Amino acid sequence: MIDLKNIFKYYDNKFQRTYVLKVNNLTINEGEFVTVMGPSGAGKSTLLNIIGMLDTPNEGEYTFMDQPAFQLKEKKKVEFHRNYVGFIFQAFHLIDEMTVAENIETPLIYKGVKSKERQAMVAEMLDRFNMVAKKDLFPSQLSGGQQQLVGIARAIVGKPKLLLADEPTGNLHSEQGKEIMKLLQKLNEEGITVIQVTHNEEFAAYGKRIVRLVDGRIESDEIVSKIKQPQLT
Amino acid sequence: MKKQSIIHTFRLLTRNKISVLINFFGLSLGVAAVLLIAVYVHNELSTDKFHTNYENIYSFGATDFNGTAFMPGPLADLVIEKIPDIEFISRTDFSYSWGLEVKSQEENLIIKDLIFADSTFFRIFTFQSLSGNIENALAQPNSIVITNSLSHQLFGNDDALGKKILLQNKEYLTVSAVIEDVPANSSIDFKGVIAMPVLKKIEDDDYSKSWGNFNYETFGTLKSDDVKNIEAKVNEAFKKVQPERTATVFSLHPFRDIYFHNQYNDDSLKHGNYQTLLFLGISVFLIIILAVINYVNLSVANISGRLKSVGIRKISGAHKSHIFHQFFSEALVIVMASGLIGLLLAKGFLPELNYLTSSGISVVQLINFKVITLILLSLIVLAALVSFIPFVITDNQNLQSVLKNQLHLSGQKPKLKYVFVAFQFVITIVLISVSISINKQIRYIATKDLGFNKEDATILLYLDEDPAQNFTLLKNELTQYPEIKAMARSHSSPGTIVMQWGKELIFQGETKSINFFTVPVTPGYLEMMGYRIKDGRFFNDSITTDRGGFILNETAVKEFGIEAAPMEARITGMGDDVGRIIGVVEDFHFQSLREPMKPLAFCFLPQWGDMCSLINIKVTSKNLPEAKEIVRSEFNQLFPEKPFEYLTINDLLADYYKKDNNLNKIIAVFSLLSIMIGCMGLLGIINITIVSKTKEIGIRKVNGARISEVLIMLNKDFVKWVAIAFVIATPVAWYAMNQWLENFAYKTELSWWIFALAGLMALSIAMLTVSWQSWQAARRNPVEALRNE
Repeated sequence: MIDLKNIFKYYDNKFQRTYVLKVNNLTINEGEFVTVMGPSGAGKSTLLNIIGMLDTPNEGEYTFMDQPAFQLKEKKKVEFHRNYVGFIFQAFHLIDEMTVAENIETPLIYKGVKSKERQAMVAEMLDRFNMVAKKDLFPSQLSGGQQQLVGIARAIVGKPKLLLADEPTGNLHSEQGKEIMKLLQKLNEEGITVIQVTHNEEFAAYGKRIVRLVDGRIESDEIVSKIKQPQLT
Repeated sequence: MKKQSIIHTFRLLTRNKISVLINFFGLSLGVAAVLLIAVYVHNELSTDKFHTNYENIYSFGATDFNGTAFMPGPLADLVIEKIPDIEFISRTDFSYSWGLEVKSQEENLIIKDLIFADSTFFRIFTFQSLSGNIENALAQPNSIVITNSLSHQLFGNDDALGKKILLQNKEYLTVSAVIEDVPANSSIDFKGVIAMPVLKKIEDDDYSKSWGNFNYETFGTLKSDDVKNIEAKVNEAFKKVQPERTATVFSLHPFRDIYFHNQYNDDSLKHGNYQTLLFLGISVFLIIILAVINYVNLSVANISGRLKSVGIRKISGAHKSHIFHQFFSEALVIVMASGLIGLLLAKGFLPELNYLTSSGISVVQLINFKVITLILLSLIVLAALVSFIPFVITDNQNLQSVLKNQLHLSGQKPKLKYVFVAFQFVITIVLISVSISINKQIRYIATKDLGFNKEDATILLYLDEDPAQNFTLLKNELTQYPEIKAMARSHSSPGTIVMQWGKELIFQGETKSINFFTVPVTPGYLEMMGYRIKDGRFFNDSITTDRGGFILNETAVKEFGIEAAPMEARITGMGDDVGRIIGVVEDFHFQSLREPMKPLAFCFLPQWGDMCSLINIKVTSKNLPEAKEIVRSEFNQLFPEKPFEYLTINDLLADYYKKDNNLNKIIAVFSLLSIMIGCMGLLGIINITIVSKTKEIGIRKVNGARISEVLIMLNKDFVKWVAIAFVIATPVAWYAMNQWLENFAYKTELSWWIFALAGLMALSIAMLTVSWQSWQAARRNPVEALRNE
């Protein structure tokens, strides 16, 4: 599904070139659950952003579902975001002036889904996350965990094929974090490809594959062993 | 989708209450100002266009009296006989507009603004008839055409057609037509038109015989537009009948040009001022720019708060057009609401505008289909423009930095908002300077020594019948009251002096023709009014040789070239009489201070029949109200048949400056408006600046900065830009005021302190505004500021 070749991102400062990312080869297939880990400044978020087409590298090729991603025009990129990818962020990033229901609805509006159908899909999400009672509240009225749930609901309401999560549990305490990770696992089982970035070793283990970045290069790329997987409750 | 975005827009707006209110307020006021001035300018420019013959009407002019719009009576008859190129011609006489006695039913009223005109008047000028045949109306003998209002005043709701009225207790007139009231945008204004031949009976004089009396403004329609040719023919025909008047040359002037660019300033028409229109147009344009700049400035400054939501939408699949749509609908809501409020404000202030500009603009002119459509379109374009800039800025941001709420602007952009604020202050300083300057000129006019006593009030009234006798009767009654200081008779007074004579001057063996303003007076009048004798003395009744004599003003002496020995000169040209020069008075202002001093002579002519029917009654200013009542009651007792009408000199003088006073008020309003908008803009910018500098302020305080130091840091930047604004604004204001003051022959100085004051005011306002906001920021606990890092 995702194929990255010779992705280089750097900043030039007078005579110095600082590399943020130096990924020679990375392939991710449909249905995978990949965790990207590494120390601060290792380039994890940059990598995720490039995969999500929020950023472009200085050199390299990126093939997404057999399409050369960097050559896509604006319109195609927009389609990409609409139809294939959902984003989850550490800071939730909900639109403050919209209610929970409206936030979740947002991607559907841009996809051109009709009103009745939209309402049905949103209702489904609210039900799934047990948030029906909260649908008319504003983000400022929710707790951190609830906000992240809304963020995830928005990210998946359009049934994307790929879910990108940048430190999804970063602003949550451990209980809430576990809930979120279990949810991501479930989604992955339902067929959504998940790529997450995290510092947390425990949460990394919820995934199936761990890619470690150090100084912009892939240090290791391993399958999580079955022993390390925690029990699903 | 549409409904959604409107709901979101409203939510956004309520969250940013301060910015929104600021924008809203500024824009509404701007819209109201633009609407009012636009409708006024449009109204002015449409003056007289309702006449069918607008393009073809011409007014006569003559070279006599240094150029005059008043023609001799026989001219019109000559033209009809000899010049076929002129289709219709009509004399008019406006000199009775101060009032004529009219008796319709029981009451004897004084009706103002009645004019006399030939029967062709209504063929030249187009006025709407309500009853009666307008084209022939004045052809009937002793006819009068009255306006609707006058008809109501004289006859109530009855149809006035065919009814009779008594004029000056002498002649019966028949109402031959009733017309609609003269439109407010007509330079010719009247309440009724009397057939010209009636004048012969009122005046005991035949206007069609005397070529020496330049009394009648004369208008005509031409058959071709070969004006030069027709002028030549007129002058040729004139030479044949009056070969000795070699100095007189007649000319034709297009009526359409007269309202704004009149050739002669002695005409009886209303005039507009191009300069004022320009002034107002520019001012209002500037105000709207201020309001728009504010809006754009604030939108741009608010962008960082919007970036996140833009980013999320893009990630959720929004296209550029969706993002623009978001900004646009927000702008549209504010702009439309402002437009609506602006429209309502304009409607509310229309009466004020009409008062200040002496116009009669109707609500329908302001609010109609065309105007509303125009406003809607402009607002939509405005909304698109103001939403475009923030849209472009957010669109150019990197998606990822957007999500982190980091605005990456090139180094120049932050300066831009200061430039805008500076520009606003340029406008504000200019308007304040202009306001102060105009005020200074108005006070100069109000306090200037006019050359006669104006501290005491003078009541003026006319006694046309047996003025000498009736004056004595009235004086006997009135002088018993302590409130009445003195009384005297004259022909006219400062404020009503219009009569000019052309005579011959004999001095040291040479004879020359002279023109001068003239005021017949009775002995005692000049002393009572406080004129100051410079040479010679006042008129003395017991000295027989004083009769037929003249007292000249200094300018007359200069112009006649008799400074060497003024008392040696003699003025002839009045039958056999030779007039001596009895004395010279210091120049005094008998016209508006816009006019340079003109030659004037007081004359004492008891042998010429009594020309002095104006009664001047001197009272102390504080007793004026009581004095008025006393005069009224005594007058009514003595002359029960006569209606009582009076004026005061101060009223007349005030009239000269009404337009200037009103302009002053308008400019003051504009200054205030621009100050408000400028302040609001400043407030908005400061708010944003402080928010973005919160961290910096917190850090500085933690490192020991005192509140005053923080204040200085925040004020420093703004002060610099206000100073720059001052440097730019001052020459602009100076130039504009210089131009305006050119209109006045007597003017005040454009002192340096005017501009310094304006600059100081602007600076104080800026600093106050900045300090008020930053005081709170500076006082805040640094922990608060740094907590959200």
